[in-house]
Amino acid sequence: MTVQTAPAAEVTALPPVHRGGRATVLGLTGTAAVLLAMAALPYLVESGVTAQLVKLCYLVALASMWNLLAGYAGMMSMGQQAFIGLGAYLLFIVNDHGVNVYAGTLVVSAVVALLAWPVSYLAFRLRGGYFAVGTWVIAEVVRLIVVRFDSLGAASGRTLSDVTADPVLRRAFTYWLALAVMAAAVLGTYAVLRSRLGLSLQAIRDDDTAAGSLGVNVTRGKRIIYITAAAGCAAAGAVICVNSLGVASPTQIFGVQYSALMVFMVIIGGIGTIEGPVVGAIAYFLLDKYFAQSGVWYLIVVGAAAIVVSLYLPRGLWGTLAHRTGFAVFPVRHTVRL
Amino acid sequence: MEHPAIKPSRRTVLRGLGAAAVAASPILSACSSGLKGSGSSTGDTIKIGYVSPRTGAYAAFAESDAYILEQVRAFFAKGITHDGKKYDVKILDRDTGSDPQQAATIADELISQEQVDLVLVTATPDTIHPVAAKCESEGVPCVSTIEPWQAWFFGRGATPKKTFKYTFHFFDGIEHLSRVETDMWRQHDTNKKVGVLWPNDSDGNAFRDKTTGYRSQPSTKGFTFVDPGSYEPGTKDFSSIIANFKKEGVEILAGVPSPPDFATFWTQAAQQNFKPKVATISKAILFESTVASLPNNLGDGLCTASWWVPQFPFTSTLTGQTATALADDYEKSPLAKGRTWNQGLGPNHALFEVANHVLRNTNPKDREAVAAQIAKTSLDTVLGHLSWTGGGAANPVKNVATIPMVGTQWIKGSGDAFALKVVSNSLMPMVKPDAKAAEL
Repeated sequence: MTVQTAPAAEVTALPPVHRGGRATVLGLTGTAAVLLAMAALPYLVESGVTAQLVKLCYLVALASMWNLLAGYAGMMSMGQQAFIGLGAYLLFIVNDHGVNVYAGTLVVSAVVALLAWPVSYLAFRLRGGYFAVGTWVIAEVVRLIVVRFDSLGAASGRTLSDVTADPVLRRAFTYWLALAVMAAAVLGTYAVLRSRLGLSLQAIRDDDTAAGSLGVNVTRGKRIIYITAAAGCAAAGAVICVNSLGVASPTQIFGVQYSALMVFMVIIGGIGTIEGPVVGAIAYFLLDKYFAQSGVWYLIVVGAAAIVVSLYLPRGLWGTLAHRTGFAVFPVRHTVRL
Repeated sequence: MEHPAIKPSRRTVLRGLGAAAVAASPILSACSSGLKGSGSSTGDTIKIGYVSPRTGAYAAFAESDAYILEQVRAFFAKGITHDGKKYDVKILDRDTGSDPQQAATIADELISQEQVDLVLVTATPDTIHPVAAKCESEGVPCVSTIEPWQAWFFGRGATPKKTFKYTFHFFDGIEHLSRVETDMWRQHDTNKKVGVLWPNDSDGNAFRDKTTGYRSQPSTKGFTFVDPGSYEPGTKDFSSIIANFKKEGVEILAGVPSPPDFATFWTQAAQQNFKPKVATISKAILFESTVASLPNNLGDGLCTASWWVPQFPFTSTLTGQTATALADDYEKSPLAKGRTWNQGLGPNHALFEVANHVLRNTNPKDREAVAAQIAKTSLDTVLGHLSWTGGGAANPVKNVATIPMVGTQWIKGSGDAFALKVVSNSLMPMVKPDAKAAEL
């Protein structure tokens, strides 16, 4: 009998899988530096500059939230204005009960997250285009309910009853609030996507049936994202409310133009990337700053930009750059180095 | 085991925290004092911000802006002299796109970047409220027009006791509308049943209000109101409201619908054979273009209360033009692009008359002084007499100057053009009526 000797076990070393590595450290350090510099701005520049940046901050937050919904969980919502408006209107209620508007923003986004939970059961009965229309209808219903309350100014909008009286302090606080909401939105997205949930989300985005068959709890993942995005939009709505010292018209704050705006920013910047919405928001902010006074030409320029980008750069500005160079400020992909 | 002596007692912790708090408070105050404000502008240039909805849903109100701006820029080119000091005047005009959010952004930019000395803002709560709210909180004087004063004053949370310091307004109110409209109703022989279209929006709700609204006005005594309840703006089917009006035998129609809603209602009313004897409509039929766009000449004979018509016997303090000359010159100007005069021309021109008067009579660089000066202004403009002092009907609350109205009727002239004829002058006997009110 011959003794068979097993061949010397060859060590099959797996190629190293990495996720950013040094890029993660660099990206986070860079982000921290930018955020710190932005936080110091009220001491360095005149308040006119920071007043403009408040708008940029809430645009970035809104774009990031829509990107989370559409870019990662495959939910084309056209009804995020429901939560923007709720954020603004709940801030009145919270503020009337003596909570200052800055802490109130936190309270408001928590309350809206709670409200979004039952709403998600309603919205999730629909898919694709029906989901988009359904969420829009939900937003309209929320508006119609809100304008029934005389204490909230009915159909006329109202002003915040208690904000910081000193204009210099108020501007600085408003700016810091907006900055904090933006940082939370972007870094929160990053944290979610690097987690286990993020991995399942990317699977859901690519094909939700396949993801489900592989053991991903599709509905749970989507629900968490829907609620998170609702909370984020509510915080942005509260910032909008604080910044304009109230709501001038419920039709505006519950207006579908916010959804159009979010889609525009995400498409321009690059859907399905964390940096894309930031780039898209900056692009829209600059377009708005330099062309808003040009009357109808402004709308033509914005429309043309959207057409050019979606035809020639379907991945968006950042998406194209990242695809060509492999560069990422917030790396979430796993790459195999062979 | 931990040695008891090392464990900090509660007292030492509290003492430490106290010391930290004491040490922190100057740091905190240093922090806030290091914050950069926008500062008030100094120097020899007065900056006036002019905010209007040049594009979007309310664009008709600002149709004559290009012409007015050319006029006032020419006027202010020679500057303003106060106390022997000469100032240059720069007018910064901004378009809100009829978006309240954009209006707030613009107000921010004008106040903190451009450091304007005075803000003028016009047309609808959506434009005025966000801008006025910013001005009031930043301490920048602001004058506004074209919004019923009740909506401007009470709608922004003011009461006769809690008034504004920096924001001022001139326009008509519900009391003028009801006086003029009821006068037009009385010119016809009717059963005094009034059907009302009050939508669920800021104007509709202000009109419906039991204590300060339309029905509480003394002039409406003797009329029976049929209110079918508030409808949502954008409603496409008015059948039930029309049926209700027909059932109640309504012979007078009134209300504040938006232009598209009224077009829907009025077309369906004609189809369903609802024919009131007189219709006085606010807001929806202010402009010739909207009246002309109603199908089958349905706009012929509709009545509206007007705040400014070229027939007014008033003169501009800037250009010396009479109201008639202002309207004529506008129509002749290439900037009018062939359009006829509209009611925005008067009040928007008057905004600059107020600005000129105020900035000349006080230190234009002192915001508090400018605000105080507006509060004591009494001026004859191309829109009529404006007075923020003296109380009475012309100055019902501190920040508001009211203007009277005339009753007018759209009459189809030659071709497709409609002309606005004065048919009621009960509030302004100095305006001569053009014609007797015609039945619909």
